[in-house]
Amino acid sequence: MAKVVLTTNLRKYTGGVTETQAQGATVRELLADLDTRLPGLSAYVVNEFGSLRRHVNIFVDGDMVADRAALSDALRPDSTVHILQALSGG
Amino acid sequence: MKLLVGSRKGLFQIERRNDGWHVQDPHFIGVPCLNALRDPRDGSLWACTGHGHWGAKLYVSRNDGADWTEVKCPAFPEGYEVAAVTEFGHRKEPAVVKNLYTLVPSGPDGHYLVGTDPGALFATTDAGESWTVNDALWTLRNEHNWFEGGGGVMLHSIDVDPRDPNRMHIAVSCGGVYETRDGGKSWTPRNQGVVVDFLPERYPAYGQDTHMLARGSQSADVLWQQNHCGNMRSTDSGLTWTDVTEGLPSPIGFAITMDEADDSVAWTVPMHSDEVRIAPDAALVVCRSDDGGQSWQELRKGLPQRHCYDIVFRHALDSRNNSVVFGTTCGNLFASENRGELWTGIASHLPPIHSVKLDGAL
Repeated sequence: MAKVVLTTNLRKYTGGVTETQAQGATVRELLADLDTRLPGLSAYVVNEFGSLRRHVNIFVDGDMVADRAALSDALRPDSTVHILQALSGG
Repeated sequence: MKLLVGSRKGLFQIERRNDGWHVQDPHFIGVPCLNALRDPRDGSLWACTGHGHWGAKLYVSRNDGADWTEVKCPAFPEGYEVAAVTEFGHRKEPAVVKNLYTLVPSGPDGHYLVGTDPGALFATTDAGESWTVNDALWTLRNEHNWFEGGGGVMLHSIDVDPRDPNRMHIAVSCGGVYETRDGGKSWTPRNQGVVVDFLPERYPAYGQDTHMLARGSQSADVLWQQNHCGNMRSTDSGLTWTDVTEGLPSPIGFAITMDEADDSVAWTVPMHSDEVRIAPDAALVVCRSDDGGQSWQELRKGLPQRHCYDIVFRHALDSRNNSVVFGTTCGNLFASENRGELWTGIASHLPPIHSVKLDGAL
């Protein structure tokens, strides 16, 4: 299971959860699994086509995801995934 | 009197009691609320919000704002594309709902229509459990090359004919006014006589920048619009329009509202030019016509007349009977109970105001 760290700005939509676990071979799969654990959360992170929202960033083991459209970036079972809001507005 | 005030930092419920106006703490603090309304059929409150980061969200409250439930947001099925304008040219990309600009109850309980950026009309018959995009209008949108104003391709006005829910007008910035008479199966541009000054053709069939469309509940064939290039009135359900701009301090503004009982009466809030976008001469003014747009009165009593840089967005002006209310981009909220003859400041220093609705009994 990968460790998932969520920006605190998502707390009010996750019932206060800011750190959890989820599984998947890719970031896309991880988000799908995460959505079963925290229902509705993925709609805040990706748009209706599964592409990363413009002002959201995901980091896998410290690296920003390369594939924002399909989130095909691979995960290791023990990866740490950060889901953060991008800086926008200065 | 109660108000629903959507702002850049949340939704306010505001109420006048015996000891004055009370502004409740906002719902959705920090989240832009572009529009809000109460469904008169069941009393539910609806809020169209748009997070900076997390996308457009729709909420409903069935206990007068005490609790809110997120409702499924309208979304395009796969295969819908828009030609996004970038500084490097047009780029085809999947159509994504960026903002919800208006939500209108229409027909039986649970039936709603929503207007969005990028210029699409969605319908639900199950209170948001599922949504359907109007394909006929979407096809015209692309054939007629609706294009972005400052806020995207905004379908901001949905005016259903009170006599027949299969007949309605919608308005788009930029695209103009369209009408359906068959429940949305087909649409016709209704912009005859509406001038534009930002296209090579002055009277095109479509492409107008209609800022707001208003229809009364009594005289369904009478429509008013505040346009980027002036004010227009139609008495034949949009088949033809008459320019009624003369007499206003400025042709441009965003908001317009009309008297429900008297279709010759409307209020608008002009602003200084599309380049400057402040109150005309830095003095806030509401204008009312009592004669179908043949003349306009300037209503300034109680409004700031020096160093005022407020303007009023399209959904931030409302009227009912003798009451008129509006909120400004500078967070100032005003009300009049005598058709605008005298204004009272309700609140100041609110966040920039997107929408104002008179809520419930006056």
